[in-house]
Amino acid sequence: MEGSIVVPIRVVILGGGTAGWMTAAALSILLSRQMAQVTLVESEEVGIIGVGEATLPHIRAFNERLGIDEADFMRATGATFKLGIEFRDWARIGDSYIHPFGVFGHDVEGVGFHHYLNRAGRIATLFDYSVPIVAAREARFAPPAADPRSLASTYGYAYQFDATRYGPYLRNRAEAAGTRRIEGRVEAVERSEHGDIAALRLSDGRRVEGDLFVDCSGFRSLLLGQACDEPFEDWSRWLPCDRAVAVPCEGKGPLLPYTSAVAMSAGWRWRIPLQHRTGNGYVYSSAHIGDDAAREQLLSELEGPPLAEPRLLRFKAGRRRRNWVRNVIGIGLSGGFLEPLESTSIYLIQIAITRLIELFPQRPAAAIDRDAFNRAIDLEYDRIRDFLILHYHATQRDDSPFWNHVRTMEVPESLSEKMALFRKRGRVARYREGLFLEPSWLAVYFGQRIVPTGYDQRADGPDDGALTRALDQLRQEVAAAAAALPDQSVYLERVGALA
Amino acid sequence: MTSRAIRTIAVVGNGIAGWSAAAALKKRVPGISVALVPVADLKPGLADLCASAAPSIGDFHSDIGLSERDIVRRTGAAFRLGSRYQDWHGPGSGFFHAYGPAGFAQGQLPFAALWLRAGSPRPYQDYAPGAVLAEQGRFLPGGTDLPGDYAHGLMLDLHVYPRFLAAYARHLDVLVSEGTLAGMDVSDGRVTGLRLSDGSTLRADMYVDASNVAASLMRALADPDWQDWRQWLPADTLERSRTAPDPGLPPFDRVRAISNGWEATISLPACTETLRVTAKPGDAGASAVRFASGRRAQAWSGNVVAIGDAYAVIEPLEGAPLHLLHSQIDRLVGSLPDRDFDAIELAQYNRETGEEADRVRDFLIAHYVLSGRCDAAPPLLAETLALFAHRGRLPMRDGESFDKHSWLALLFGHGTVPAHADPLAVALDTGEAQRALADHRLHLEQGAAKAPAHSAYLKSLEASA
Repeated sequence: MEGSIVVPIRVVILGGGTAGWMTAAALSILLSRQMAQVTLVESEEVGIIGVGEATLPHIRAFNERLGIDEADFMRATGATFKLGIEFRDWARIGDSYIHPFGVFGHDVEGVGFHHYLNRAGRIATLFDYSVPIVAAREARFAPPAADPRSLASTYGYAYQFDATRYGPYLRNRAEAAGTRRIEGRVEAVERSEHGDIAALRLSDGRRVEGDLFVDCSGFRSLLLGQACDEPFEDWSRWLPCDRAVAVPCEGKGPLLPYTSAVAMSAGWRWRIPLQHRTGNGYVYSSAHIGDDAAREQLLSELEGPPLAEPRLLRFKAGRRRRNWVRNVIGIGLSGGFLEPLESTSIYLIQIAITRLIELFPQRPAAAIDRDAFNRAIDLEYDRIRDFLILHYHATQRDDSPFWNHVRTMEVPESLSEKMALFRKRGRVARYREGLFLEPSWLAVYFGQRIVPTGYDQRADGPDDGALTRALDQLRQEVAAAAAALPDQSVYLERVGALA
Repeated sequence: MTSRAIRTIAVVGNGIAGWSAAAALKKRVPGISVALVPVADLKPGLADLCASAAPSIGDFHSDIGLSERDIVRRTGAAFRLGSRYQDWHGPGSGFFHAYGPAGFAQGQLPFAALWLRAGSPRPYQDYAPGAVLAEQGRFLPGGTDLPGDYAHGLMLDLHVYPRFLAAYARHLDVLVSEGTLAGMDVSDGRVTGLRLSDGSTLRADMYVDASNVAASLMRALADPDWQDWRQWLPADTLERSRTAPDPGLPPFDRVRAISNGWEATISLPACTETLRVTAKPGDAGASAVRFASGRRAQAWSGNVVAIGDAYAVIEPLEGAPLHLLHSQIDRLVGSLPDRDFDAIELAQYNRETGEEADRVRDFLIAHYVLSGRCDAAPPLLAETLALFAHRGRLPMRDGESFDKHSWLALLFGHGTVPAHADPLAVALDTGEAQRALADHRLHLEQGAAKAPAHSAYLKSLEASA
């Protein structure tokens, strides 16, 4: 390598939505210009979806890597802090639980806390043993403490932000770091003799040549789906929701540090509180409710006056069989779609970018890199898919054809085995790579009313009195740790994050 | 406690595997009684024959309530920062595998990429604190002035350690039967009782087969389902010898490649233990122990779970037999089902235990593949090696025992250099990287020099008792 002349790889990103600008910013900031020369082609005529207003804690690492200042980013995108996701009416109407970015209680001599709670017959109180949950319920927020012995260190956080502002925010940084932006609409795709994509031809006749093409064209999947004809793996038999109607409205009440997902008769409704508005949407199965009825139901649930016309989105759950084919990589919706129930859209973009940088192509791109990329992305999709299906399938609701369908459908074996193992003795199958660790599975299992019949025998250690006292004390300590946090709005102001 | 809970467990086998399992179950599972049934003329397991233990032995001991200091003082053990591999790439070649990370991360960039970018001025492990301590013959357990973390295992005196463990198990109220195993009653895929040499019968809710390669209970229960590993790990003969102690007491074992295998030198306060593991056709001699590497498809069947050599036989490179044993015991304690022995729980245990054994196997095979002693690697290992050789990517699999630091020590130690640089490293200034490495190495050398010699540290444990 030493002394050799490195000719930069010409990366052409098609699409200027969240995925496109995240990719452009990361590649141009993190890779040297000897390695990558980044061009982004977008058309102002084409609207953006702006997926994933609610995020997972991983977004912080992404922003930090790009040298983004938190308060500046939050002001620019009207962001709020997020400690978890509230699920209402999922297992039964009237139920509510929060899937927190944090742990429950603490393990005792290697035995999971929930085993002790189950032994004590108090599993219904599990959610009181999580600092971020108790804080979220009270609209409080501060970042976790650094001291690992402190209860206030037992959580992470993410953001809820205006995705239509995140792209432009990153665009400034990407352009400053050398991304060239081309305004234009793609009219044709030129192939080389080997079948790789050689250039994009724009409607005004310009040609944009590249070595590597990143398809961020959204659902249309112009390069991966259309030009390369990569088949779509359809998961709608497990995840039947195929439409969403979205509308922002004026926010009301305190700024809540969590996203809500409220189960509806044919799907679920999101509520994402931002500084300047509240994002709302109804994700539904078109086989079970009509578009007009869905829109009416959503509008009737709004907490304040709508700020725009409701927008209709169509999609299908699943992913392209491969996300990297030839010299084309799909990032974002062009590669696949999973409904935003667990705020995974931006995470999936981020993970694809991270892998792309790790495997950044040599010339010519090596098959071994593509395979490694595709396998990593598949694994992420599969894990998230199973986790999402769990929310639907583990329900007792029988009040609509939609819920009857998801409650009784066959689920992937990878999920039914996990559920059976948990039902038996509260064990969560562990894996090394991929999203959602044990606390997340525990939150959703228990929140969806799956209570194991047995528990780890080692939880029989303490006598009844000692266990009860320890649990009572811990519950009070969690409540006190949460109560010590300021209101989120106070904290936002304190750190200068209010727009 | 639920009515179906397991209350009685019988452990068959009086080797390290049996005593370890009995002690751990008794100590860690409340309200159960544990009986150990000796086996007459028990063939030793590989864990009984190889004194080297990986860092997991520390967790095992603390989980059963033994302090490392007591173990070291009372059983004549020594500390082990890793292994030094010698002659694997011809006479005079060598490298360390010390536990823990090497170097430091510079911003986003992993140390390995930085080191490669700097042109690998010194061997990779020269930047690992554990290896620097080891090369100076010094030892302190973690938390020293050295920049960076390291871990340690132990080297055991196998003439003392098993007796100590047995005494401790008895102290924990593990019951030891008078009679030895004479037979077993089996019905419906379960063991219903053990017949003992004194004419009595011992019944338990669950049975642990720690009878080493005899696998007496598993054989009576399950179909023969042996997965043969000899195509990759052909060594089949183990010979041991003891010589006078080396007063230098290096805090690591030395593993020298010889024709058809390897020879390990393990320095203990009381003696030097030499272990010779080879593939030897024909008669090996009376003192040699023969073995065949492989594992059962299922560790757990009905109410019997096999641990140690009764489940998997693996040559004792990298302290593999003791590590797998300890890890299996830990999983067993954490996976106890109830007396229904539900298939779903057993399947999970079997999946995890099998993956773990296979990944350790692959780590061992990698030594042979990378030194040109074995042509073919199992598929996952082949993929790991290819990905690493291509651009230094290291996939971490489910069930992996060795962390990425150990893998890097192994791969770089054997001379694998990725063909392409980390994309993030390209912008880095080579001269700057070299200076950072030199500074770091100097810090490590100076920090290590403040630690006591290994032998002095062992003496200090005696003195402060």
